[in-house]
Amino acid sequence: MATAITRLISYALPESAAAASDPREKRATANLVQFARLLVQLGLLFAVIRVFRVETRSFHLLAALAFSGFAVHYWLPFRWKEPFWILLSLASAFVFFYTETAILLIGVGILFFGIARSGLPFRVRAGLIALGGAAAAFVSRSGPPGFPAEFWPMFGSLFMFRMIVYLYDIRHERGKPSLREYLRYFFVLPNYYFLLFPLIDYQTMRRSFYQRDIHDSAQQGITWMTRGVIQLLLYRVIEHWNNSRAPENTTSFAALATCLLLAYLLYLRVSGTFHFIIGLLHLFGYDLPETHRRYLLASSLTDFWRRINVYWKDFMVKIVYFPIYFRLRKRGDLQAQVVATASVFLATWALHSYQFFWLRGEVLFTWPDVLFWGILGALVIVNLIWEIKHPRRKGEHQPRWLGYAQVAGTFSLITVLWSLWQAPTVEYWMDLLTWWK
Amino acid sequence: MNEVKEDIRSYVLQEFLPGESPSNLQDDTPLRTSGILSSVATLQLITFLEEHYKIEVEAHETGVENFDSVADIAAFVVRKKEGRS
Repeated sequence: MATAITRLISYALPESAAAASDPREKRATANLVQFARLLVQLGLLFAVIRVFRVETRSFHLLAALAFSGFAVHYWLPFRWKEPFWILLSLASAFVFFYTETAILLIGVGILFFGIARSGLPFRVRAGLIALGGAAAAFVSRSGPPGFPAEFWPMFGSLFMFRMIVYLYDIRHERGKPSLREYLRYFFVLPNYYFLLFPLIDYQTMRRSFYQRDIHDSAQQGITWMTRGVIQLLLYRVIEHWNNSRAPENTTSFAALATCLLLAYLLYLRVSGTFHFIIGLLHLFGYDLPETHRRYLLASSLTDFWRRINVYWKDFMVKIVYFPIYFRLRKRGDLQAQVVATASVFLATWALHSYQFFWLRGEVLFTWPDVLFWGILGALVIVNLIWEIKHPRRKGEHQPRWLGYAQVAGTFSLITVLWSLWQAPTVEYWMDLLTWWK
Repeated sequence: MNEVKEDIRSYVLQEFLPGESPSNLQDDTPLRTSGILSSVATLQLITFLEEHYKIEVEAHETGVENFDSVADIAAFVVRKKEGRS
């Protein structure tokens, strides 16, 4: 028992003295003036969140925990930083959830880790974890005793996608999985508030830790959190306008355009929260890439797909696109890319329903959803084939007006498609578009 | 290793960053995570590496751990050539 506890603690304790020569340690060098500058900005951001009542009180609690945690984390010796972050995240589960829920989440997590780390063949390990997930999905429908209702969506949010990435990555890794890396990947403080969570890549998170000087990383984080809060505030305005418009009042093209635009801009809630989440992680040294790249300014559907929810796109590339492409490339590059791209959109549609099940407790199958992903996928494939067959010559510059036209055209097309996705039925959407009838 | 890095740097600059100064593409400049290398561009780069260095890249080797910077890509190529990947 004592040996087991010691080994468990050693996973979280600072690594050996040999790690002292870690180049990341230099990037964590503290500076009182720079710290004060960062802290003042965080204080202002927190004040904005409180004064404007961004999100709910639980969000304010999240911000308070994270910002005060940063103030402690910043001054810790480098070897203690990640263990502190892991402990802060684990302990915060008991703040955001009932005690039973927190214990169950961590317990199930440890169980999954035990399976992943066992010496069993990979297929057996993956099969056991998948079986556990399937059993949970089946049992969750009946609300078994001993499992608080809040447990199931949080369980889904933590494991439904990241476990796929994790298993994919450990399959080809040398050495046994590390508990420390497992805990920091799955139990992430902001996830307790945001069920819809950016699909952080396991390898990217591992490499991102103190990849840059902490002051640059933290400043980037504050910038992104601020951008996120602004988007959340804009979302409130847009939601208010959207809710005050009844579809039957769409009696002109201007009213239709406004209706479609507002429906699309509701996505600001997702991009706003994702900016805030990743920005928050920057404070603790995780120099992760941005989640959205100016998607409103996409110049083509392929460009839009690359810019909106970048983490999802990277997940699809890793798990679906590249494996299928590499398997088919001997039959021809174009064919392989087309099949791989089609598979990505099919997988996205299916996994979107899978996510809906875990987070909302019901199976999603609507024709607007099917049509949206089908049409978007088909158009991206057409765009892809066009780009392959008509590559832009090196150094070629297109006229500026053409660039603006492409952005406007893409934005308009996405807005129309988005309205289909948000519509309860295809008939509703058709009625909306044919406002003149 | 340095020769491999320079080959890769030249290729990336020529194909994906035309007009960019070579000094702006450092060994550790993020390529995948910054969006410089899209998935299609990564495949194009992989084709170049396979033809130029006579290696074969597998799907699970295309992650950011091997393909996010010039230094990472060069180290990966060297490991593959030495049969250590």
